[in-house]
Amino acid sequence: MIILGLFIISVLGLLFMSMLDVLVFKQQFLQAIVHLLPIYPDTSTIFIIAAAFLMAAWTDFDMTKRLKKKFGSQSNKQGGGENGGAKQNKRG
Amino acid sequence: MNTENQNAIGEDPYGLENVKKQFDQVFGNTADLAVVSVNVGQYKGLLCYLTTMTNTDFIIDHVLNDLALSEQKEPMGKEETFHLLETIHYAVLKHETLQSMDTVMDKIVLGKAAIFIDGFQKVLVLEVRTLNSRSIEEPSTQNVVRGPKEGFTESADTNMSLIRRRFNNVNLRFERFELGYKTHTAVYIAYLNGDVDEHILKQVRDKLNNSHIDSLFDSAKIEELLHSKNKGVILFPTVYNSERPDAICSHMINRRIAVLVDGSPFVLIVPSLFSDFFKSPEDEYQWSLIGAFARCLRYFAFILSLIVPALYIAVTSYHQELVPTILLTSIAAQREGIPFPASIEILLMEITFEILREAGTRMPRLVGPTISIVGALVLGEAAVQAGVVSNINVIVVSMTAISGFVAPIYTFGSKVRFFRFGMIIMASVIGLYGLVLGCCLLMVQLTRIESFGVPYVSLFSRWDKRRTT
Amino acid sequence: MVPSKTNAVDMFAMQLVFLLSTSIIFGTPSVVPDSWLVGIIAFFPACLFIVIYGAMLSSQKNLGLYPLLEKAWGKVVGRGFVLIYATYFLYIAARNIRDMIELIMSALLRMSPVPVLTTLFVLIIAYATLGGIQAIARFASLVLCIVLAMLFMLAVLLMFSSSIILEQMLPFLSKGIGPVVQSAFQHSIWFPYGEIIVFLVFQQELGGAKGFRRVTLYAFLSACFILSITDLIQVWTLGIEGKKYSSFALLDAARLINIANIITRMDAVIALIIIFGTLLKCSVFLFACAEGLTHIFKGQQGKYNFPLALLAGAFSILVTRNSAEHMIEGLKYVIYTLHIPLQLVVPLLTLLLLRIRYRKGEST
Repeated sequence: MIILGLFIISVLGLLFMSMLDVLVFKQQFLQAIVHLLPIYPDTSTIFIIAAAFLMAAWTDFDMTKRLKKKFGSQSNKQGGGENGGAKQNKRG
Repeated sequence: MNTENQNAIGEDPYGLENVKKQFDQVFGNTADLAVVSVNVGQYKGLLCYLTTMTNTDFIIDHVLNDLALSEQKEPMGKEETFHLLETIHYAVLKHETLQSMDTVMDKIVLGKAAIFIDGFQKVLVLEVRTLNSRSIEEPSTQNVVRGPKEGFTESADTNMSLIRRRFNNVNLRFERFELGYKTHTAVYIAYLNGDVDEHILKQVRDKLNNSHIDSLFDSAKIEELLHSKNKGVILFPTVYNSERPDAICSHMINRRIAVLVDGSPFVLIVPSLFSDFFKSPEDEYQWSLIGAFARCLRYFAFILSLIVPALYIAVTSYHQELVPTILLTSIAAQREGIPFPASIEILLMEITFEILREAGTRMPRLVGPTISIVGALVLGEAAVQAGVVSNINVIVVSMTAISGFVAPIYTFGSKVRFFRFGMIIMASVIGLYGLVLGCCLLMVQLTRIESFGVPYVSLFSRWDKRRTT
Repeated sequence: MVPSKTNAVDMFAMQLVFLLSTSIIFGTPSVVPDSWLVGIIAFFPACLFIVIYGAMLSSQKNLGLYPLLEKAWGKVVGRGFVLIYATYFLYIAARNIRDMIELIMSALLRMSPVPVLTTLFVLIIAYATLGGIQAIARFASLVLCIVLAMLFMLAVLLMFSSSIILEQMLPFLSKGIGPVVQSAFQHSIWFPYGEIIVFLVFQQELGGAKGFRRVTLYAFLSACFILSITDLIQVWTLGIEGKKYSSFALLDAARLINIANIITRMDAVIALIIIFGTLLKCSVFLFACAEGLTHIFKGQQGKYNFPLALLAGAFSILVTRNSAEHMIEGLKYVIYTLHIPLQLVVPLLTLLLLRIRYRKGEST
C-alpha cells in the first residue's frame, strides 16, 4: 500500500508542477510535462525517486522479516539451535 | 550414639544423618561448607553455613555461645527448645523459621546459617553474613574539591546504608530484586515514595522482573537493560551512574529512582536527562553563579569536542574565505610541506590519540607514565618536527581531547566520540554544510530521545520540578 | 509509556520557527519601498486565518484537518481533498528545500553536486519526523534559541561595525499607503502566515482549538515583530535600492559586518542557521503529508517518512528549472493557484459545509 500511496502522490506532485510550468512558461501541457519529467535536466532525480520506491517496496513486502527468516533458517541448519536461542534472548 | 537411635534416624526424614546426606547431595563436598554437630538444649543438633560467607569470630560470638547457654536449662521438649532459641537466644540476630527443609539450601547460599534439631521438622535460619568488603573510600571518579568524600563500595548493604543515612525520612523505600538465573545477584531500587512517578516505577520494575540475563557482575549490564527500549536511543546514555552518595541522593530528591547492584560501586539513576550529565555534585556546594558558570563551560566544552576538528577541516579545505586573513596565512605557513590533506591529518592524529587513551587506561599503573612520555614527546613533538603533521593540527586534536574529558560522567564522553568521527567525515566530504547537517542530526537525535517517557532534552519544561499529577 | 504532551511553549516555538524559517532569509518581497511596513499590515488580515481555522476546529471537537475534510465533503470528495492537501504540503516542502539549496549554493558551496546535498538533507528531515510531533516541537525550541541568538548577534555586530544608518529608510511612504497594503494582501498573508494551516493536521496531539487560537496568535505577533525588525535592519544597512536588488538581503546585510578585520563574513554563518529553520519547516510539512497518506491508505505510522522525504528531495530538483523561474513562480503563480484556494477557499467552504451539515447540538 505504501507503494500505491507514493505513486499517487508522485503523479499528483508532477501534475502540480507541470500545471505551474504551463502557467509560467505559457507552454502546452504536454510540452511542460515532457520538460518536467526526471529525464531532464539531469538523471540523478531518477535515482532518488527509484530509491524512494525501493524503500517503499522494502517496507511493503516486509523484506527485513523475510531476509531474517531466510538467514535464520540457514543458521539453524548449520549451527543448530544455539544461535537462534542466543538471538532471541537478546531481543527479549 | 546407640544402635536403636541410629535405626530410628535412618527412617526419620528430619534426622541429622539424613540432613547431612542431603547437604552432601546438593553441595557436593564443596570445600567451604561447614556442617557442625552441636548440642541444642539436651538434643543433638546440626549447624550448617558457608565459611566463605561469614567469619569464624562471628559464628563463635553470636551463634555458638548462645547455643552453649541453652544447654544449662532444665529438660524441655523440642518444640519448646526451638521456641526458646528463636525468641531469647537469637532474638537480636535477624532470623526466620522454616517449616521444612526445601528452601534451606538457597538460604545458606545467601550467607545464612541453619540450625537443625535432631528429628524436628522446623529449621531455624540465622543471618550470619559478614563479608569483608572494601571500606568506604573516596570515589575514584567524579572528584570534588568541596563536598562529602564518601564513595559507594561493592557491598549493596553498605551502599544502602549510605543512602539511608542521608535520608532520615520514612518515605525512602528499598525494593529487592534478584537478577541473573545463574548468579542470583541482589538488585535494589531506591526511591522516595510519593515523589516518584508511578508509571516510571512500574516500567523499571517490569524491566527488572522480565530480564533474562544469566549473570550480573556490574551495574553496567543493568544500565544496558534499562537503556534499551527507550525511544530513539542510539548514542546518548539515558541512565546516569555515580559513585557518590550525595550525587545519587540529590537526584532522588528530584523524583529519580536509584538502582543498586550488589557488587558494583556504581549506582544508577533513572530516568536521566541530557542536563544531568553536565552536573557535578560540587555545583550545588558552591556559590550558585560559579556552579552555573562551570556548567556552561561544560556544555561549551562538549560542543567544542564535537565540532572543532570538523570545523578546522571544513574551514581550511573548503571555506578559506571565512578565516581572518592573518590567521589564514599563519595556518598556511604551518601547513607548508605537510604531505597530507587536513582531513587525513586530523583523522591520523585523532586515531593516535584514541589508541593512546585506550592504552593509558588498560596499562598496569606502574607503566602508565611511560605512555604519557611516549605519547606527548615522541608522537606529539616528533611528528611535528618531522613534518608529518602541522602544529595547528596538534593544537586542534589536543584541545578536542581535553574538552572531551570535561563531562563529569565518563560514559557520556566516551559515547560522544563516535559523533566526532561522523562530523569529521561529513566535513571532509561537503565542508561546512556537512558540519551543520551533522549538528542537525545531533539535535534531532537529542530531541527524539525519551528516557522512560520523559523527554531527554526539553528547554521549556522541567520534568523534575513538576509535581506528580 | 507516559504520554509526553507537547507543552505550550514548545508549540509556540514550533510555530514561530515555522513562520520565520524561510521568510527571514528571503524577507518580505521587496516590491514596494517600505517593505517592513508590509509585514506589520499583513498581520491584521492574517489573524483572519486564526479565526477560520479555530472555528473549523471547534466545530467538530478538535478533529484534525483530514477527518474534518472527510466529514464535511463526504468520503470520496473528502479523500480527494486529503490527497490534494498532502501533495500541496509535499510541494511546499520541496520548494523550501529548493530555497535552502539555492542559498547554500550561492553562499557556501559552488561546486558540490546538488543531488548529494539534497539527499543528505531530506534523509535528516525524514529522521526528524520519525520521532513524532512532540520531538519536532522540542527540536524547534532548540532552533528558536539559535535563530534568536543569531539575529540578536547580527544586530549588535552591525551596530558595532557602524553599518546601521537610520536615514536609509527614507523616503518614508513615497508612493502612499496604497501599494504597501496591496503587497500585504498579495504576498505576505499567504506566505508565511497562511501556511499555518499545516498545523491543523496535528491538532489532536497539540491540544485543540483553544490552545491553537492562543498559541498561534502569539506566534503571529512574534513573527510579525521579528520579521519587521529584520526588514528594518536590512533597509538600514543596505538602503532601499540595495535591498530591492539583492536576492538574499539578510545575507548581504551580514556581509557588511567587519569588526577589526577579525569578525568578517558572517553571512556564511547566517546561511548555516537557515538550514536549521528549513529543516524544521520541511519536517512539519513532511510529517503532515505522511499523516495524510496514512489516513487514506491505512498504513502503519512512520512507514511513509523516508520514501516521501526522498520524493520531496527529487521534487525540489524538478520543481523549477532555474532560480529566476523559482522566484517568479513563488511570488505570483503559486499564490494564485495553490495558496489562495487551499488556504482560504477550501477551508471556508469546509467550514460552511460543516455548519450546515452538523448544526449545533446535532454534532456527533
